[in-house]
Amino acid sequence: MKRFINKYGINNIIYILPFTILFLIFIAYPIINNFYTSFFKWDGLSPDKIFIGFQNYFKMFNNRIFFIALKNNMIFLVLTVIFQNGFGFLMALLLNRKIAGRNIYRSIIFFPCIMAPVIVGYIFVVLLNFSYGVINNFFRGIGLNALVVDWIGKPSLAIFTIIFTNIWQWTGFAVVLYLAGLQNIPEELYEAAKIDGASYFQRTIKITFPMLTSTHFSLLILTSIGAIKSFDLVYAITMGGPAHASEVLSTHIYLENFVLNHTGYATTVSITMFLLALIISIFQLRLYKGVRI
Amino acid sequence: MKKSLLWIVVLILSISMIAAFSFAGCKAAAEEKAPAEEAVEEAPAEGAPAEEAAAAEVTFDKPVTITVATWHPDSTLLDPQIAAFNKIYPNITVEYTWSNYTDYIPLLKSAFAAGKPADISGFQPGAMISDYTQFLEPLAPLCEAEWGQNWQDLIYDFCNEQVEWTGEEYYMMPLSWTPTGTWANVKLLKDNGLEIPKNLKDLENVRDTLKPKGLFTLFCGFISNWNAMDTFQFVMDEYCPGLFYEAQEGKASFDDPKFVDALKAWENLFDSEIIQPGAYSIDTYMDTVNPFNEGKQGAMIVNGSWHLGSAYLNQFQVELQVGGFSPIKFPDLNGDGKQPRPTIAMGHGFGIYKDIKDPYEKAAAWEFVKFCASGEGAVIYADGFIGFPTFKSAKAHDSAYDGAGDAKEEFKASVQWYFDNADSQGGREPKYAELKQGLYDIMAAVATGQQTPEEAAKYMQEVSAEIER
Repeated sequence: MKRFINKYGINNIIYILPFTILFLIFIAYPIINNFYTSFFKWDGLSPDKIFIGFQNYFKMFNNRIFFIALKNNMIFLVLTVIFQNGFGFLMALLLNRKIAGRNIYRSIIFFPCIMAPVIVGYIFVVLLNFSYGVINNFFRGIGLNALVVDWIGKPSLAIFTIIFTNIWQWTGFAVVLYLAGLQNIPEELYEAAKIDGASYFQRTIKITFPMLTSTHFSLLILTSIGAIKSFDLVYAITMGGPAHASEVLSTHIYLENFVLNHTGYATTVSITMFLLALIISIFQLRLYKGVRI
Repeated sequence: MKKSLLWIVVLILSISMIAAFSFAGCKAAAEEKAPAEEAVEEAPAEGAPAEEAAAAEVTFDKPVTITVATWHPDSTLLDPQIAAFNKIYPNITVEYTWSNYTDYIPLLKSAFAAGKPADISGFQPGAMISDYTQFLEPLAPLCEAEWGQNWQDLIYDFCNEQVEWTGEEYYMMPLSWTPTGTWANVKLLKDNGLEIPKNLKDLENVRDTLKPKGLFTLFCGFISNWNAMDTFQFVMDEYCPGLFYEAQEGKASFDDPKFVDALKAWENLFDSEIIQPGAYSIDTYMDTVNPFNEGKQGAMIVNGSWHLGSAYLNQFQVELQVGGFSPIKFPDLNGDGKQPRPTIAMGHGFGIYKDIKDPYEKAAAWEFVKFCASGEGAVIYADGFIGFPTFKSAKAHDSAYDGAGDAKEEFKASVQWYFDNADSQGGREPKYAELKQGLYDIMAAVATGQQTPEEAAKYMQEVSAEIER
C-alpha cells in the first residue's frame, strides 16, 4: 500500500477517488454480479437462484437466435465503421473549405446527433412504411415501382434499414471529430506538398489521412462499441423482427430478460457482449499503438 | 492544496455523490413508514392478514395513499373511476402510474425485482402473471368474505377459468374481458358493390375489386405481433381447432399435420395479398386503426371488442357512424361452412402486493380493487367500451351510448353482438411466455418466407418441448 501511494502520489490518488468509488459501485459491481448470475437459472424475481454451472453458456452457443444477433451486430459494426466514418471524413474535407454557408451546413449535418434515437427510429418507420411511406410513394409517383420495397418488414433488408438510419444519424458526429482533427494539421505540410507538385488527392492521401490517425482510431472504437450495444434504434424500427431477422445482442437480451424472464441466460449474453466489446477495443488500441506516427 | 483540506473535499464529494443516488430510495421507504405510524385505531395490529381488516369493517377515516401501476385502463377511465371512488372514500388517495404495454412489462419486472412494486399492479392471466404470483396476495379468501361462498358465480366463467391458470387462490382480481374479432367498413364494401365476406372466395373477390383501387382487404399491422396472434388464432380454429390448447398442456404436438395446414393457410393469406404486403412493417395502433377508422383504407381489420369505442364514439368520421362499421365474424377459410370462433381474453386484472407493511393500506388497496371489479368503477369501465366488466351485473349506462348520436341503436346492437357471439375457442393469451414468443416467431417467419410451414411447426414443437409444465 505504501509503495502504491509512493508510486502514484497521494494527491493523485485522492483526486481519482470519487470517480473510482462510483466506478466500482455502478460499473464494476454490476459486471461482476452479471458474471456471477450467468451461472444460475433465475427469473430475475424470485429469491432463489439455481446453480447450473455453464449450462447458460451451452444454451447460448446452441441458440440460433444468438448467432443471428451476433451476425447482425458484426454487419452493423463493419458497415457503420466504413460508411459512417468514411462519409464523415469526406464531408469534413468539404466543410473544411471556405464555402458560403458552411456553418449552416455543419449545424444541419450535426443536428440528427442531438435527436433521441427512438425519435429518429419512429420518423424512419413513417418514412419507410411500405404502404404509404414518403419514400415508397415517391418511387411510385415517378414510376420506379421496382424500388418500392418493404424496407422494414422484409427480413433480408430490415437490418440494413436500421444500419442506414444509424449512419444517417451519427455521420455528423464523425464530421465534427474529423473537422477538429483537420484544424490541427499544420498548413506548412500542405504548402510544402504543393510546391513539390502534389495534387489535392495526393495531399489528402499522403498528409491528411495519416495525420488524422488518432481521430480514425477514436471513431473506430466509438462506432464499434456503439454498433455492438445499439438497442433503441433497432427496437423503435423493427423490435428485432420480423422473426428475429434484425435481432441484435441487446434486443436479444431484452427479450430474454423482460419478456421470457430468463434472467440467468440474459446475463450470459450480456457478459458475452461485454467481452466482445472489450476484445475489439483492446485489438483496436494495440493496432493504434502499432501505427501511431 | 493542503492535504487535510484535500481529504475533506474528497470525502464530501464522495459522500454527496453516493448519497444522491441512495437517498432517493430512502425517501420512498420513509413515506411507506409514515402511514404505519399513523395507523387507525380500528385497524388490526400490524402483520394481521387483510381479511381480518375486512372482517373488522375498516372505516377509512384516516388518510392513506395507495399506488397503482398498470397499462390498462388509461387516464380516460382511471380518472373517473378514482373520482367516483373518492366520493365514497375521500380519505383514500389513489396515485397511479400508467405506461403503454411495451414499457409496462420491463417496469413491472424492475419494480418487483427491486422489492418496490405498486400496491396494486395490473396483470393479464397466463404468461404475464405466472412469475409474479409469489409476490401477490391470494384474493379468493377476500372475495369469499366479501361476496359469499358462491362469489365465482357472479363472474363470467371464462374469466374464472383464465384466472385459475395460476391457481385457485386468485392472485389477480379479474376486471375486464374482451373477445377478439373482426371489423368491417360496411360502407366501403357497399360502395364497391361488395357484401361482407363470409368465406375465402368472398375475400378473394373483395381483394380483386379493391386492390386496383389501392385499397386493402384485410388491413393488418403486425410489427408488435399481438394482432398477428389474434388473426392466426382464427386460422387455427379453422384447421386445427383446440390443438393449440392441448399442445399448450403438452397433450398434443405442434408438428401435427393439422397445425401445418393452419400455417399453410396463414402463408396463403400473405401470398394471395388478402393481408396487404408490408403488414410486418407497420403497427395496428395507429398505422392501421386510424386509417381504417377514417374510412380511407382497408375493408376489414382484426380488432376485438375494444374497437367499439373508436368505431362509434369517434368524432372524425361522423358520416360513417350510421351503417359505417360493424363487427363481423372472420370468414370461413377451409370451406366447411363454419366461420371460426374468437378467443376471449380476460383483458386485465389487478393484483395486490402481499408484502404491503401497513394493513390499513392493504385494506384500502382491496377496497379499490373491489370498486373496480363490481362497484361503480366497473360500470364506469363498461361506459368506456374498451372491454366488458367481468362481473355479470355491471353494464354500461344507457347514456354512455349517446355519444354515437344517430348510430346509438346500431352501437347497442354491436355491443349485444359480442354477447350473442361469445362462443369462443378458448383463451386469447398463451399460458407460457415461451409459447407466446414461439408463436410470434413462426407467424412472422412463415409470413415473410423465412421458414416453411413444416419447419415452423417443428420449431414450435421444439419450443414447447423445453417448457417446464
